[in-house]
Amino acid sequence: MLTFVVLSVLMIVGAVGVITLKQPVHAALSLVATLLTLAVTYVTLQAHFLAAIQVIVYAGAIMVLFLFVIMLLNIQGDQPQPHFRWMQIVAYLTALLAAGAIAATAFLSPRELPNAELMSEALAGGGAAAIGEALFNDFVLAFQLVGVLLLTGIIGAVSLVQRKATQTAKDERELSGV
Amino acid sequence: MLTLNHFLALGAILFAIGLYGLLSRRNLVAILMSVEILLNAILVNVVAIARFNDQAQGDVFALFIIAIAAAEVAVGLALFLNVFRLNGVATVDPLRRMKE
Amino acid sequence: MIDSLLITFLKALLLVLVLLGAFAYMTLIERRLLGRMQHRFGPNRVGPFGLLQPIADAIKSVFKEDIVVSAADKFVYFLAPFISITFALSAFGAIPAGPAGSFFGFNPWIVDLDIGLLYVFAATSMGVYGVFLAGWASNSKYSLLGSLRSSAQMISYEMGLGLSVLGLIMITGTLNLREIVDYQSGAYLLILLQPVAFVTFLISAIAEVNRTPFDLPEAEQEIVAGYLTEYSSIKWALFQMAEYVNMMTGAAFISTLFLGGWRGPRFLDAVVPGISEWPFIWLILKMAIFMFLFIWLRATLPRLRYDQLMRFGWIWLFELAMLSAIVTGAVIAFVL
Repeated sequence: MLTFVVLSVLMIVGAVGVITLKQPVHAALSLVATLLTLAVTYVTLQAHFLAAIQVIVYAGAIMVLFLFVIMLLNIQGDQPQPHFRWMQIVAYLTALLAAGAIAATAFLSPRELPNAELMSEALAGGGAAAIGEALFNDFVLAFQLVGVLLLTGIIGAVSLVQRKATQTAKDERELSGV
Repeated sequence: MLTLNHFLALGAILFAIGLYGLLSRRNLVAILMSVEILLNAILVNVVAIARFNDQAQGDVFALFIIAIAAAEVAVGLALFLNVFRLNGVATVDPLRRMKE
Repeated sequence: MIDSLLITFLKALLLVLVLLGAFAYMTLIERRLLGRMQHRFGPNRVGPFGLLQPIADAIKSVFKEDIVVSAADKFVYFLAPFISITFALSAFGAIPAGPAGSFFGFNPWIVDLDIGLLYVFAATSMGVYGVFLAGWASNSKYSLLGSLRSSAQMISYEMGLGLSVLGLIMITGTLNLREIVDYQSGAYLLILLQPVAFVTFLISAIAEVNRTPFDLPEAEQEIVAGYLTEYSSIKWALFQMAEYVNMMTGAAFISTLFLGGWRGPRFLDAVVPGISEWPFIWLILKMAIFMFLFIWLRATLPRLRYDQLMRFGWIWLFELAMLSAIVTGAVIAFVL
């Protein structure tokens, strides 16, 4: 219980940091901290495999990509503009409402659910084998589709970024009068 | 006693924080980071529910969510790079032109 | 048998001390060996054979002026070296060094994880942050260039590492490092079953720990030591420490995955019964071979150009690793 409270507080502080810190690199670091705490929470839930994936993919690759773009663009902090202020109030209200609604559903739910101690042998200690079995038997089509999605994502990202490079080459050719 | 409801509440709080960031930030990268918080809020729920129901399916869903997040971030950041190149800033403001 | 929390903590502390001590003497060994390979002596003035040199270096590092760049982002600037060293040290914990209960009745590993292999990957993948943030926080062109290069390199070559172990996981059917070692004692060493993967893994590992010929992030001649440019004194020493600890982790990891880990060759049992089961000694010996290889390469090979490095990785190395994994999968599925 204590572990959970400490982890949740860290996670919430990290998440609040992401949305309040002005310097994007600090915000990104805060998000990394949130993701790592989440990984530790998975460990407390005995989801070791997922915790490792969370760190390798999320913290180790996705967030590095974020930092890369932040540094490439040299993005500075955001100054709130007057004509955008009303959005902030809307955001507050929506967020509060959403939190209230979801928390209410979560706590008012009459169902009594089993606790973590009753976990089966297959899932204890990470359950990489159990996950693999589910992934390649029940979800094999979804797995293939995710593969296609990732490939599409890569091609899309590369083509989006590439366009400018050919444009620069064309500009240079025009400038040099060839 | 730690129950599933605690995890669901944590997920709800994270989701709300992410939602607030998504709506209030103007910096495109910050908005995308808020989306990551939303996804992680869902991950908390999915993993917790899977564990409390003693099933591996939730872990599989979580894997899918992480994979989709990776694709989303790659495409999103590529788009933002183009926004930056066209406008010199990476905020949502220049994108208002799209409605004109 | 699972050790208690206190014992685990004490073992972790001991491991950290051992790794840091090994780091100090690795710097000496490296400089002496480089000296030999370049027909000079290397440091031999402080103490017999220069054995006290690391202590002198440590004192020098600690007492040097700790310069903080005025335009630096102070918090991140301080954080970066600690991130580097923390994740470098934590990666070693999952690697087993002997049979269960052989360390004064305790287990010679810190944690026995079912996903030990992924754990090491996770810890090393976090190491990139130290380098990356160091370059950014220093607020210097050279540092930023160095760190951008290095993060691109480390992310790319992490893929090489991951692809290289795929076949190995298919063969052993486990992610637990202890079980991978046990598999190799029951069947063949995995270097014999996965020779291509071994080579690609070794090359990727060298790139991952930023050693010559892949030490572009530092590249003294072009970008004046890259991300380290603005660091001095103890913070610089922490980065050096992280680099050497990463090298040692890499060496231990390769030995565990491909060379039978902590087990020695069987045929020696005929000479001294049970010698192949002795803890620590075999792992350290195998690590020493790889550490020597790293130093040897540094003395031999010139540094690659950045585009060569990326092209080599993406066009040759990763394809080769993937091909090896596919062939392994096909053999397991159709032949066996």
